[in-house]
Amino acid sequence: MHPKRRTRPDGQSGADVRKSTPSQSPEKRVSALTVQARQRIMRDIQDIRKNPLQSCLPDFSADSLEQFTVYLEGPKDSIYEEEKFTLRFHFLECYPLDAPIVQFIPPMVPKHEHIYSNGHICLSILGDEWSPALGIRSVVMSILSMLSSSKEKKTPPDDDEYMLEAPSNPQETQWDYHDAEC
Amino acid sequence: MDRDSESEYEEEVEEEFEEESGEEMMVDPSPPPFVVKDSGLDNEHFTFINVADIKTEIDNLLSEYEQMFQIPSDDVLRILLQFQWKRDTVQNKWFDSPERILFESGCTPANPSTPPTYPYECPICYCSYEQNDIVLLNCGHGFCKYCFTAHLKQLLKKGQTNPQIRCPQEQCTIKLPSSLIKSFNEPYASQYNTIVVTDYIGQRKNLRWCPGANCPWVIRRDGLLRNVACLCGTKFCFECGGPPHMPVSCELRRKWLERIQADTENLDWITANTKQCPKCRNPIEKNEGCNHMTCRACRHEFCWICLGDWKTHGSSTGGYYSCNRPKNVDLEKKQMSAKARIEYFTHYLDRYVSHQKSHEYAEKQKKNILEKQENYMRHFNCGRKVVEFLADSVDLLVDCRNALMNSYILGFYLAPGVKKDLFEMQQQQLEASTERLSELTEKKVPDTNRQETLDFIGITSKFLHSMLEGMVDSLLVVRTDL
Ligand SMILES: [Zn+2]
Ligand SMILES: [Zn+2]
Ligand SMILES: [Zn+2]
Ligand SMILES: [Zn+2]
Repeated sequence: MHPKRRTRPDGQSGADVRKSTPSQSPEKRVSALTVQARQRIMRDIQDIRKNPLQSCLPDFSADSLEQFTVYLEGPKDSIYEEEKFTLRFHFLECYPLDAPIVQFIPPMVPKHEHIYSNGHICLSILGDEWSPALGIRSVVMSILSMLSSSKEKKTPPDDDEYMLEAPSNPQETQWDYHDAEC
Repeated sequence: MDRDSESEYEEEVEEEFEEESGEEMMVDPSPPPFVVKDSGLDNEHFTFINVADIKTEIDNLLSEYEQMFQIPSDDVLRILLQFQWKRDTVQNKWFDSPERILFESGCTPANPSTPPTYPYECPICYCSYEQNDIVLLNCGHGFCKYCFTAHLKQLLKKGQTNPQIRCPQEQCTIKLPSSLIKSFNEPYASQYNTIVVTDYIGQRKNLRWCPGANCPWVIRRDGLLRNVACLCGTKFCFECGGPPHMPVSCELRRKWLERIQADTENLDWITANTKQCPKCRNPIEKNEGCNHMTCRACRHEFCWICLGDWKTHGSSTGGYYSCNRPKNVDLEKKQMSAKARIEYFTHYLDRYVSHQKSHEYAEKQKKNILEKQENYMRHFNCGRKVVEFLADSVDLLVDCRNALMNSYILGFYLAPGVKKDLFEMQQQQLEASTERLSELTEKKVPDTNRQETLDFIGITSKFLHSMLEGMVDSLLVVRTDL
């Protein structure tokens, strides 16, 4: 199964949809994290500092809590072994009630059926299936397991099409998750 | 229903809606009376239900299964949600294995839960709490009540539409019981109720919300008709929710709209507002809805659509003139030539666009009808009851133009045969009668003939009904060579 983006029920083209909802670039978003969000992000970071994850090198040097970068290595024995990728988290005001915006930073993007070449990831826990009991660790683990289980390096079938209409924030895309692991 | 009671009625609908947004949204003590407004579209085939009635229907279903299965109402709801409110599936699954259906519906956990120890660390905020502050689910997962509440409120605020809300713990299959969600303050409890009701309506093929803005009505379809005129005034197609478009099916209409969108070149030329008089070549501009034209220069009367002599049109002359049938095209041929195909398409497109324009014009007439009624009352010194026919005539005209416009889509796709012949006869009758009605409605107040208009309202509405109701989608044969 491959990921498929939902087509709008009103049959509008992607371009029209984009016009009506101007996409905000995550970098430009003015966000004031709540106290709870700051505490939770610090807790998440502490957690992976204390119990490091395999094939994962977090960048602890950043001076802002809103953004967090993780360098990933292709998991051992997977088709991505020895490849390096950059994964970035953007935390929104109400984290962890709101899902973080998570994407790979080109050009360090794995060639994967559920990962678009602009770094957007079709992963249900980053959208509809997000739960505030999840955190940085569970997201990284899900992405690593996505890479581990991949058998073939290929971009999503609608990659070209998506590049034409993709909003800069992947949360503005209406993802259609075809299977549980997607 | 006369105009006065109608405006009263609208107030009632508004009141009802305000009540809905308040606390007691589901309990409506005095549902407005069931009213059918005759609009040319047949409402006998639809029932208007308010949300409170749907809620009662759901409650009855819940208590029925509560008794049958001897399980709490929370479990019944989770089961019904999981299996799309399908009675057969639910009953069969239950009799196969109650344990299994309870697990599949998220009522019981996969593994027996271990009771937590206190103080307990909330997996959302990582703070420790005593038992009092923990919401504990039957899967054994607990969350501090502050995080749990904030999470649910955030979900609802973001417009959650799925009534099955999972336990926040990663990988847990438990769905939250509705009694827990409803124990929250307003407006969250009501909002959850609405989500459940909306899910129920969405799963029932014979129910639909009126798409009108802020309209509280739910419509139940009791027959096969698709055109609904809601009590709020919104007219729509029961199946696709778009504008009403009988006699053509949603699917054929969609195909047609795609096709004409791709063919804008043709459209440009057809939508021209100026044509030449077929007799003296004087340019004639059309700015009214009626297709019966009279040339200002030579007084020649002709049909705007086919440019044929008007004398040969309509039932008034007794002559049967089929302006609605394509000429010069061998319809019986299984496979049309490329040239014939274009001619065939243009024929239908031309008429479709004509009626579309006339439809727009009729809508304009409808908007201005109050003013015309006032003028009429002043001029003839009569009461409000007397001028009702003016509003009725333009209401009907709007419906007829719309039906005719859509009838040319159906005509385009229909394969030749007895059905099509019958259909075209009905279409032709309706068309002739509509043109006459249209002429009558365009007359200035002093020239308005009330009795003739009333007669034509009667005849035309009969023709409209027989054309709309005569076409059963499943029996129609569609051309494949287009
Ligand atoms: Zn908490
Ligand atoms: Zn749980
Ligand atoms: Zn309505
Ligand atoms: Zn429809």
